[in-house]
Amino acid sequence: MASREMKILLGADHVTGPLGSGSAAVLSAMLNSTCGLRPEQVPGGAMASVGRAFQQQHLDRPLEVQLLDCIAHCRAQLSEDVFSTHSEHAPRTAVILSTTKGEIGLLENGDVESALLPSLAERIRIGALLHASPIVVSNACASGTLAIKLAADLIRVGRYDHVLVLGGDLVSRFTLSGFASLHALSVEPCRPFDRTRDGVSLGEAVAGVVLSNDPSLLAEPLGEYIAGGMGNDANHISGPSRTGEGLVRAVGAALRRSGMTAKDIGHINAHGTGSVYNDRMEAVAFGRLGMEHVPTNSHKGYFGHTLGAAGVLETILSLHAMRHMQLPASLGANDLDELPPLNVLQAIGTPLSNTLLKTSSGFGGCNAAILIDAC
Amino acid sequence: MLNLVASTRLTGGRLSLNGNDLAEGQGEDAEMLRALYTAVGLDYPKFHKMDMYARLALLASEPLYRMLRADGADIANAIGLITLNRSGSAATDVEHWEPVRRGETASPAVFVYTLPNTGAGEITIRHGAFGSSICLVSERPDCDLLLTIADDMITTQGMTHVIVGWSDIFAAPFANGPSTTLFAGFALIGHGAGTPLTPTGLQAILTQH
Amino acid sequence: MAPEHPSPQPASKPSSRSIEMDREELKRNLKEQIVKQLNLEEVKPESIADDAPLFGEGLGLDSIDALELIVLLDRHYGIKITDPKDGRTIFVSVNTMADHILAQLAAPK
Repeated sequence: MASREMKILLGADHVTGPLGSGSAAVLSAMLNSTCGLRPEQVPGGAMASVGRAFQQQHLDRPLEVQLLDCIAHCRAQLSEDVFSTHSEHAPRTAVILSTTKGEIGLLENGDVESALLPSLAERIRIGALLHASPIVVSNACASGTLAIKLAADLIRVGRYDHVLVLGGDLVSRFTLSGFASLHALSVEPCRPFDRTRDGVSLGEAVAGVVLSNDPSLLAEPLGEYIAGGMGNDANHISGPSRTGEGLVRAVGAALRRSGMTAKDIGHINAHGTGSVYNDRMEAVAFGRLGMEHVPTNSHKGYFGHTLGAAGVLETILSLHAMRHMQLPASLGANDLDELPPLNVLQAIGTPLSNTLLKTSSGFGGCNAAILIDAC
Repeated sequence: MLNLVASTRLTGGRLSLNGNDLAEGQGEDAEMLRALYTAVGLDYPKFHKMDMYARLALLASEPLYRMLRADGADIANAIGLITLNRSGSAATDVEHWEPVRRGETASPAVFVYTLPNTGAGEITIRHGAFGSSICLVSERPDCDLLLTIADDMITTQGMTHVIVGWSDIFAAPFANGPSTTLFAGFALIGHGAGTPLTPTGLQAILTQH
Repeated sequence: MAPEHPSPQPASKPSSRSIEMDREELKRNLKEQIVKQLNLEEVKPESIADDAPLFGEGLGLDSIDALELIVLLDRHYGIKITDPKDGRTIFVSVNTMADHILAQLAAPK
């Protein structure tokens, strides 16, 4: 049974991606069934649906620009700028950056050294006048959710008081060509949990949220972090476990630490990429956990799979949705896959309780799960 | 207090356990890793499909998992893993990108390794390890942070041991060209038998000098 | 390197004996290309039987290998497969791969 002497709150958030900027605005677009995915030809010649957001400005470091902008938006919402290197609180703060490929355009242009993730982190430190370089978490598509869990763990054990969790990744020729070579891309916008789903849609986004043990720092907290868990599939480098092993362990660990059971979960925001295997694996896992009745959705039909940003972006939007008691439909799930059953939202729904379960899964077999009580 | 149970080091064609040479591999880079694979008696054909980062991490951590298996440790459930390096998967990224840049077909077998955490993924697959794992990328190891994470994995996440490993195939800065500097240092950490491990002590294991 | 696509056949067909030799050479090449492309370091190309199943037991190939075989056909023979599911019949054995390649190369454009 978890005893919580310390409350870890989430707030001061910001998102930007294919549906625009600002968490409230993006949620509103989702509740209006807006899809931010557009047809685009990918390397190899096939057509795909892609969620672009940052390329219009022709900058050579678009991710860095968006990350710095996101940091500014988050910090502006704090009662005190504890993250500034000049703040007395600075040594008790950290920034965690979740990304898979970082500023990948630099590598595409031949500057491998500048494309390295620590180089990006250092530029963020300098550009945002931070106390230290962001801690970079890179666990494929599970990174964002894992980064939030790590932030909470580090606050809970007393190493930090405040952690800004950032997630960001770009759509790039590098990544599109890779997913195309795996024949993993859907031509039409992805259809998570749909019977005819046939692949993922890639999107780009940046998202940020602050975790803190000091309620006075956050004017309107989004939620209270309860517990998290992680587990590996130990199965195949790019294919998920058929029995959802890692995900079951991740969620199971989170439940054990929180003292909650399946009955307490109000909403599941799943990973739901639209791939045949991933979505089936999740349905198997949630079934094994006794959660097939919980209102469940994936956000990826709205803006695509944003890789390192996904866990952070989707957690933020889910918490906003729960605050408004309006859960977006799982866009693209028109005709549900029956086996195994899952309560996938085909219209706007309401949570059963204020407890959110957010899960993410990635290449390498990593799975992360977090439980947050929405405020 | 966290204790160092054992450590390995792979550098200059030598794989050593607790400072004692285990195996030697002639040649450079991929050739050397293949030679070590044979010398260590790995018998795991999937090794040859991995990229250099994954092969390096797998080889360097192998003696520690063998030790754990011999001691009857619960590898399936209770061995945490923290992997880190500086270059992420940069060499493999370049290998994926080059044909794409020229307008040629990408290789899926190369692309699936263009992520920093695939070394950890391959380790967990080989050893059937379902427990906690995290992959970080940093200029140099923050050993204070690593020990904090390892301690939490043991204290709160049900792990009995944590393996922390730095494995990279380039010395800073990134070297274009044929010469690489493969280095891996892995530490097996636990609360049981061993010598107390400080951040400085961990740093000595995870870094080349 | 992809061989040149043959121009439409002239009036006289190639002798069946030369097709047979081409087929044998094609299968030998395929085995070497498979071992190289799929990093099957511990497998000797000549040990792969023409009709041995490539997937399942034996070579122990997986889903990524199936995708790499698609790349092999493209890179070495200029043959494109757009639906990976077609691979289920084409990549059954070296024989079926050779059949597919010969059929594709002989097909009128």
